[in-house]
Amino acid sequence: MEFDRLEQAWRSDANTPTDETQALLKEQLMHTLKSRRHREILLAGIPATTLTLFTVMALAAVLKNDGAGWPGIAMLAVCWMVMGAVLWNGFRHRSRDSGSPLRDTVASLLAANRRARSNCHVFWAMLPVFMLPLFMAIQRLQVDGRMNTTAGWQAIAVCGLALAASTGWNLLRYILILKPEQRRLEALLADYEG
Amino acid sequence: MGAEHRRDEAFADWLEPHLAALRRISRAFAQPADQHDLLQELMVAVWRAWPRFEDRSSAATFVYRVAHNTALTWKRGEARRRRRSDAIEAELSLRPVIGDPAEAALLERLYRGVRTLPPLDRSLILLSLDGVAYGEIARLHGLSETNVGARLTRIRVRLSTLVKDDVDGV
Repeated sequence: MEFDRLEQAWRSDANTPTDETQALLKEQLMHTLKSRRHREILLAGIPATTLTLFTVMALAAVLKNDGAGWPGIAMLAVCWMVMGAVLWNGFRHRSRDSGSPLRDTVASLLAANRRARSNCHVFWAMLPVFMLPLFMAIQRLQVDGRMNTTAGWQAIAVCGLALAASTGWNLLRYILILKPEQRRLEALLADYEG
Repeated sequence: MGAEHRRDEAFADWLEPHLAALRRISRAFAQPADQHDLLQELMVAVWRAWPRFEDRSSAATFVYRVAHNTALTWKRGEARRRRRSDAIEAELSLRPVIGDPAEAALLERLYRGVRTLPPLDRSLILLSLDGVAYGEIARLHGLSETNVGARLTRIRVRLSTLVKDDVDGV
């Protein structure tokens, strides 16, 4: 088949939205923007509300106890700063468009993917480093008589569960998201080079 | 909320002339069941990038760059699969058969052919079919004009063969 014939079909009425379709698309656009904005507000609102609640409770407790427990407020201030930084960073990087050619964008996405995978490797390499002080601390507490055997096992179980959940999450992210994305981006970049 | 709604309306008015292009991109990059999702992603991507748009550049070029960037690296999410039936319904409601049914059938085959191409080839041929000049395509993708020309020649031949095979039922 001649390509001219395909170009003709491309420019035909069949590929041009009617006024009705155009209106539907615009309506869909407005709906998409509204729902996306609501989702973004909700995502930012949940941690902000939780942190506000904790802060109010901590402030009330500190005021009631004549200033005792103020380090808790200082720690919450750090949480507020971290949350602010995360939200600000998210807002700044809402768009991946930097005005660069698409080839450069793909290359920078691949670099970001490489950094994320390196972070996972570092996390796994650090696991024994987390575990060792944990065991040593619990053993020390037991030797000093400040923790009985049952409490020691409970502490190990809680910390182990947290570490297992964190490791599992990172592993799933690595296998299901980062690796396939790496393969996809590498293939795309190779296509640009080819 | 009022100010946000006005801003959304201003954006919708600005994007309106390019909605057809976004729809063509979604049809070329996603299978029918996912086209609605990709179209939404394209709209949101342009909306997020919009504050960076400067009037001195062409709106069409800006939209093409953001949309092709999103489409090239788009991957269907797991959660979206659950909404597949809704997406098909929405997609069909947006696609009334107008004009010559034979032309519409050929167009569908053309889109099917484009979807079988590698992502970069898909993007290049779409831009070319939309009448974007070689120089502009080269700047958008970071390729040389000669390279774009050579690739497009190859893609056109391949696409013609793909559509012909589809028509012949090969």
